[in-house]
Amino acid sequence: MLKRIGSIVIVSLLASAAFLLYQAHQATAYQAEPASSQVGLAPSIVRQRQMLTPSSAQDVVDAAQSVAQTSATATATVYDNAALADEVRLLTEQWQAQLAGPGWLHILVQIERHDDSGGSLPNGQVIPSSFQFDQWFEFDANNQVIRDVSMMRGLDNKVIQVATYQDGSWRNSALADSATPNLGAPEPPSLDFNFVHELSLANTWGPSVTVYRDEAVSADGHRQVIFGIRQDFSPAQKLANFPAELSAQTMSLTVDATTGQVIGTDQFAHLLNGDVVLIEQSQYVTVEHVSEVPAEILGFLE
Amino acid sequence: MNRHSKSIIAIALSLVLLLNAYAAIAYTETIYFNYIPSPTYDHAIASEDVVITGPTTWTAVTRSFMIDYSGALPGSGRSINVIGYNWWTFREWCNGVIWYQYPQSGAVNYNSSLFANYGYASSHAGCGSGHNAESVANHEFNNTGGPHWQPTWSQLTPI
Repeated sequence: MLKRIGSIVIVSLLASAAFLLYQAHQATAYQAEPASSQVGLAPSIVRQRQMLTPSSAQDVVDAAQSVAQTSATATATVYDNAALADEVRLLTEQWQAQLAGPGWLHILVQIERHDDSGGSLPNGQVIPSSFQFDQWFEFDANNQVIRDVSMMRGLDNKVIQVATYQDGSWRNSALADSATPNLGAPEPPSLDFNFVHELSLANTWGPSVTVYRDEAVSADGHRQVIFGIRQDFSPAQKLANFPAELSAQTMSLTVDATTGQVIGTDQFAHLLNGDVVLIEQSQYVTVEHVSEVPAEILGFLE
Repeated sequence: MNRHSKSIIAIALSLVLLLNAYAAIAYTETIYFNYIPSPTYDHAIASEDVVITGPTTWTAVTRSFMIDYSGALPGSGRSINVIGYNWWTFREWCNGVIWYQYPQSGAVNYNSSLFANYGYASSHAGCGSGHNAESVANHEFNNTGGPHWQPTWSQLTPI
């Protein structure tokens, strides 16, 4: 009889603990409903600046072929992800070190996508397939970002959306202030597009993720090293931003073999019929420390 | 089955309950307690989740569901007239800028206790910093004679 009572007590205690834990979680998770209203974009701001020529379609095709060849090579050679991460770190170290230090860092990236696959902003504006990502970071002496202005610009140079960070808060012109999520303090930009980090973790995803390395020569004769990560899908995967099913997706980083300067990244969809199609290409146009910031940029922070 | 076996089974069931409670912590939820107040105190829950599925992909999950007083499983509560979402979007953030966004129109189930949907997306390599994924929805809970609850809820995860 005593054993039975003991069992009942133990079971009751455990069940109570489970219920209390769940209730505690419910109470913790409950939060007030955030505002969901949205407003239109800020007026477009135009600044005089030389227009940059986007990559030609042939460039994209060539790059796709390069990646496809690289992937084929990868099936023959097994690379160690940690070794590739170290190689990227060492190769780009000196170039990145030149860009460190207090003051303003300006980063301009040209983005090309396979079509209008970016969807639309909360204010209904379509995210174009070609745009420039124009970023300005102000660092203090401890390499912390104090202020930050980031813009998506169309090829006509008009601002599609602008985000600012200062005094601990983010604002995005495509959202009402109250709807801008707490994204946390901005971290110093990863000039290697986070590839050292991604390569370091590649082995944690299992056999569906592999890494590869290739070498190439640019159109103007510079030797380049290409570092890649491939994710195979089994069964085939349908992504929201792409119209066909994918057997794999690759992303690669191109680095100048001599200077260690990062050129950009490419992301490709591998279709079931063997075709390789660009998802997104990002290429640095400018990475520079600047002593003076354009009035337009400072104006966004007022 | 003797008393000892029954006790072991009961303890195992309790552990399952505990594990369920822990599993639920992985989601971000907002809860309307006692949405159907009697006799079983069913709660309504709006839930969002972002799951990183590899170096190049992530998945957004949105769920609207009812649970009964035990809180054990999504959809364990009683059915209501309309359950789902009025709108749902999942998007990538890159240093404060919306890098990609995939807006979805409203979708609901009628006379049901659960509506769930998910979407796969690329994790874009061209974002060098401040890379986050978000699932955000305006949920819909409507029941005859009960409250009309339409919470907007979001889950934001670094990727």
